[in-house]
Amino acid sequence: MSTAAEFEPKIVAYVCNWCTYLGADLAGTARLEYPPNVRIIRLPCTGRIDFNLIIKALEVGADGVLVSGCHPGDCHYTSGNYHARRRWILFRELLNALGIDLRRIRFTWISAAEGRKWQGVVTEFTEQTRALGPYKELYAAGPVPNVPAPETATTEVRSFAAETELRATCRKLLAEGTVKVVIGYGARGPVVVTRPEDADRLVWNNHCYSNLTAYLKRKEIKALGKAAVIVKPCDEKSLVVLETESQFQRQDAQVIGMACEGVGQPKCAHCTARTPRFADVTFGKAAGPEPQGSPSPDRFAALMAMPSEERMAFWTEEFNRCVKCYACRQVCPMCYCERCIVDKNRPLAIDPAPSTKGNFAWQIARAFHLAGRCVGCGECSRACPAGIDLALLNISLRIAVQENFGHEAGVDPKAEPVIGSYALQDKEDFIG
Amino acid sequence: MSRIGVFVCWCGENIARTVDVAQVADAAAQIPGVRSSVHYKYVCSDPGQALIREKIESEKLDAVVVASCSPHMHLKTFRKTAQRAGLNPYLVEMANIREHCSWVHHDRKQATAKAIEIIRLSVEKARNDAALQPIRVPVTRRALVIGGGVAGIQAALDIADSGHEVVMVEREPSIGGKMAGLSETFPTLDCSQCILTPRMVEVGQHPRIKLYSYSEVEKVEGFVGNFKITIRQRARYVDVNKCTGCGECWNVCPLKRNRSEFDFGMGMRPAIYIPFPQAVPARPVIDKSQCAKLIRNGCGLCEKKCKAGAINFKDEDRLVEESVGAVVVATGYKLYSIGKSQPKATLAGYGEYGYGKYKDVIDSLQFERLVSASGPTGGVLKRPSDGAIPKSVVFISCVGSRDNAKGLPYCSKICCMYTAKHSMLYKHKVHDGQAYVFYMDIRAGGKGYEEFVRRAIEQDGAQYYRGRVSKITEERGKLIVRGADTLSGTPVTIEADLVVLAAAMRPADGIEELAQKLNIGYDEFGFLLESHPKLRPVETNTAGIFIAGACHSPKDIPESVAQASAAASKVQVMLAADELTREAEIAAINEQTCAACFTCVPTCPYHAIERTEVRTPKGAFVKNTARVNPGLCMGCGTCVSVCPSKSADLQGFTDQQVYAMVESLA
Amino acid sequence: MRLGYYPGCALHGSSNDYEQSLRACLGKLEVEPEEIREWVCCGATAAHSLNHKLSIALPGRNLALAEQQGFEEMLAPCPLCSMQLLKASKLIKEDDGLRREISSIVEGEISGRVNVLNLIQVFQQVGLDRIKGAVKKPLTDLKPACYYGCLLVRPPEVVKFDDPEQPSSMEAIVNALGAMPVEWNFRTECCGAGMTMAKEETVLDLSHRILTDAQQHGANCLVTACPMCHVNLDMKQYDIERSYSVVIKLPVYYLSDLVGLALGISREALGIDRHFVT
Repeated sequence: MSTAAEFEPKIVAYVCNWCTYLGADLAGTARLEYPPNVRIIRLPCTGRIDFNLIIKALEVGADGVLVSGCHPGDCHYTSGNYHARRRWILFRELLNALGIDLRRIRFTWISAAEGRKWQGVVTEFTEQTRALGPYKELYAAGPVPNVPAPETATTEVRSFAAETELRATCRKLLAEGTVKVVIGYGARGPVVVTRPEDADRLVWNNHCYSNLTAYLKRKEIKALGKAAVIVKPCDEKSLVVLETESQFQRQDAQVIGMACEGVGQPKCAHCTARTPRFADVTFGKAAGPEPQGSPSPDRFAALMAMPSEERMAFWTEEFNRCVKCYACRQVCPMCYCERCIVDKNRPLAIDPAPSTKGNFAWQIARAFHLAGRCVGCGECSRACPAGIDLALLNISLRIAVQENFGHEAGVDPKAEPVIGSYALQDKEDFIG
Repeated sequence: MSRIGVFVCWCGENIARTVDVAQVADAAAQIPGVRSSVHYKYVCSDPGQALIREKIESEKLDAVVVASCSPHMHLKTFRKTAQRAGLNPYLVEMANIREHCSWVHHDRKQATAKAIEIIRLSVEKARNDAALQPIRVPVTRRALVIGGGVAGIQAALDIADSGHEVVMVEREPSIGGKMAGLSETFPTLDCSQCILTPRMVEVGQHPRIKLYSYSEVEKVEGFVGNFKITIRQRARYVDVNKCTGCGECWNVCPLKRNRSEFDFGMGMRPAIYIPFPQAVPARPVIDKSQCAKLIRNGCGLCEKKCKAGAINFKDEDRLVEESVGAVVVATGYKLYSIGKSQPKATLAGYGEYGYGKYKDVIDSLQFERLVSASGPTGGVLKRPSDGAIPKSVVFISCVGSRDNAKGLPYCSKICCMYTAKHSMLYKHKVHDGQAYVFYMDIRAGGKGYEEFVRRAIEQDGAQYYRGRVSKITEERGKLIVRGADTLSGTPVTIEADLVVLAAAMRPADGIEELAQKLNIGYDEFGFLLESHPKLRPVETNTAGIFIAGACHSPKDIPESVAQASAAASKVQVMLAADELTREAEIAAINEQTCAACFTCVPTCPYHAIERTEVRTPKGAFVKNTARVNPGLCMGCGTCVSVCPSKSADLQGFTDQQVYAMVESLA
Repeated sequence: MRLGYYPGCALHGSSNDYEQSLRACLGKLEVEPEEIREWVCCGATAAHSLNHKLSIALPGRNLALAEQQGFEEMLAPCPLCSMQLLKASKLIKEDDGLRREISSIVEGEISGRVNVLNLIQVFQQVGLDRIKGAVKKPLTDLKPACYYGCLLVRPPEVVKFDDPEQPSSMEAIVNALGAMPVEWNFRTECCGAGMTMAKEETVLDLSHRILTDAQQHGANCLVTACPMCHVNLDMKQYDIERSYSVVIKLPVYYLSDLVGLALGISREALGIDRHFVT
């Protein structure tokens, strides 16, 4: 389509059937001319536009993506566009954090009566995209900027005082049959204890970094019967999210909370909770008073201060190390779908290959699926054998949901989940 | 689908002038999976459709792509064509190369290239089409009518006469609505109650109409064809089965001076009362906030007097459930409250008219009661303050309507007509009286309406001033009305004995809560939203729920009756068979892979997704899952985008189809 | 809190009796208004008919001065002034571009945080109960017609005070003083305003109607909170009587006069003797 002389941008437009599609029809009926670069994909509602479609269009070589639907309040299906708007707010933050050029994606509301607006928007967007030039490399490598290194973890193992009490309690719980299994920390990693005499295998020390709630989703563990799970205050937040999503019944488990003195992970430098709030029983003493607020870690602030090309170069370098082992998925408590999106092959929404494109596609999906759900336990970064700081990407959406919707995952069991709800006043300054 | 037929239309010159249709058809033939690709002058014509059918048979096509106009134009046409040839109608796609291509580009090369790409997108979609079957939903062949005014009555009678049972719910003690309180109606000056009461009696006696009066809709569950309605029957404290309507009770009640709601405060009623003599049902109710027995266990005279033993002070509200297949909402209107207290911050009231301050400044419904033969003054127009017969009456139009600054921006449609009527009724009653009308415009667009207004001016001598009234004050028992006559450019001051304000029409109280219970839309004024303002004026966006009358927008009696019959006919179509068929392009959830996170459930605008379980045939629990109710889903696809495991998908716009389309653009 | 005081041209000029009255009265209630230094004309009617920006800049300068001098609130007893100040304040708060422009023109930063009060609002702040408690001589033989005039309650979006059609704030104060305000029809009708100079007949006609209506409704005096209205109703009363061959003889008091009298301040101290109709 493009010649050396003049570049013709390729624009993919996802439009809703009832408003924008009819608006484009009206532009046709009124013979309003506009550049021929746009390819419309008709969907019943903007609510149907899943975030991955936007990335997919850019992946296959579109230079610009236009997303358009009914004005708020006018949705043919009453609220599809409100849900879409909410997702767009968050998706833009994620793309921005990755360094993708947001000027390549345009959101608008165009009603069935706004043929002229369709003409105007398509013309303007086509020309703007032409001026920007071809989006040659979606995931462009480049000189990698300096981002402050993550805090290093300690190596020396030091037991905490509460270990003895913990073992005694677990022994009792198992002996009395109150629970059938205890999910806890062992000397070399998480352990699953079913017999009272094995309670001594449980440890509580400064290396107990795993988020044990991830094991609650396992079929094998569920089959064992009522469980007791040991949680640090940061892990406990996962339980709140899991319960909101019907994956965990609070009354069906014993939650053993451990007040935490720090487990030597990078995340401990930005600890936001030292004492468990929802546990049935709590042991240990906290490392200090409860911290106020959650500061944005310096690494992220440094990343966002860079120009977008450098950010993209940073992520390309990081993701090029990914081998698609999916350890991040296994270790994340929020990833509980038995048939994960990457396992679905009709359609192949996420390229499974460990190529740049495939790795980005997976990481974008993983991060976006965690919008409003990630509690910042940092397990993904810890578990990644290639040392990719995955938690750093999750932060972008944690900040976005806090700033836009006042939401913090895992804090309030009664809070509405961010994806799946909407507010009439959700911002739309980026929507034309 | 691997035997796709492409039909490129010339649309006469509309497409062919700009797009090289022959080249396009050739290019389409090269797309993998395309078995046949032809071009024709008018594919939607009879021979054009015959061509499609012929190709389906001869080439054994398993999907069809018509490259022509917008699917909004002819998708249904071509689906029927395919069906006639034995091909499932959902295996038909349209590529819009007219509205989106030939009509908006002039460069032949560019337009042709774009047309080819548009067709490629449609071919990809068609390749992944599935032969969907329309959804069949069982129907309860009964209807609910909410509101017993003239619109509700008309709808109920139409539906009941066609052989289906109707449940009618009316909030007031009697049906009849506002029309029962009017004196005479324009343009015929028929006595309002005389033409309405036979209908009311018909409703009360109809073997297929079940009337719940003094009742409200409490809860609505279910979906089209299968609604479960919970109705709250408020306690009347009178057993309607025993009561004979003799009237001894309300005659003997000592608490006679309560503001009559039916008379809008122009008259009084006892604590046990029947709103008006022709009430249906003709049974009294006791107002529990006024009755001495119910408040402090005193009196009880009515109980003693009642020979039928029908008074029951122990009565309680009752909750009743009814199953219906369709609902007609006909809840009517109320007037704009002209005084200081307003329900919304944007409305400001009209303090300058002194409504509420001066007794003789009244609104139009109050005037109707004063001139009604069965009204509180027996049809003699006596003004509220001292009962004197007013010799000069000022009527002011557009109070609250057409006012962006402190009222409502819309026109209430009926006031010009009823103001003319009021001036005529006044003159007929007070021969030596003078009526003055202050108006902005005269809107008299119906049959005989313009002539009616001219009669008021020319025959009955009403003095019309085109201008607004700035202030009303009171002096020596007279209301001083100061306005303007803009046609002659002079101020006008009138000493009136009575002032009647034509207040704006607004939807009845409680409409927003009711609309939310029914899950139907309403605008910023509370008026219920129709599905399409031109082509679907009685349907709502919620399947099975229809609207009629003033709850939709201000309108007069003939329009309300017409709209009610229209809604009834839609209901009759729905109830015509035991089953409804719905469009098949709805969502479905793969229960094997569903992670039961239920993110989709609150997302669905139609509450069409339920939380349920998968069990073995023997009943053992397997897993939790979400499930789409095919009777409710409207096919928006919002659930598809929020599903993390990609278990939800939308037929007709599946993930496979959409991704295939995007990837074809590479 | 310190109360700024913006007298405007009227109270230092021909309506100096109003200033005398309110200073005496407020002083007794322990409210000491501090005059804003170097205030300028508010623009009143002249500015807005000539130049829109000037009509905002003039009151804007006064708002800037009030802010600079550390006032959170200021009393503008003349409703022409208070309306202009409120209008400018509203426009400046709504449009940041305008705010910066006007701030630059008047050479002073305006944030719009200064609250502009009329005399009735100051009495409301003191508190009707406190005023009632301080009454020494209840005004039982007075039957005032409370006259608001145009600009105290209009335009409602700008002044946001009382009800534009049926106000009652003055009656509430008069009641607290033991007097019996009458129910009458011309409470918010125009007195003719600045037409006193340009077209006297208008003032005579309009003010005549006001006075006559008050009379017909049994009032034995008028009470007002606007110096312009006071001039038209008091100073011009003799001309009205002569033009229409009527006898009116209704004293016109400032609201601060009545409050002051009830508090026991003498007529001389309040400047009531300086009125034309006594």
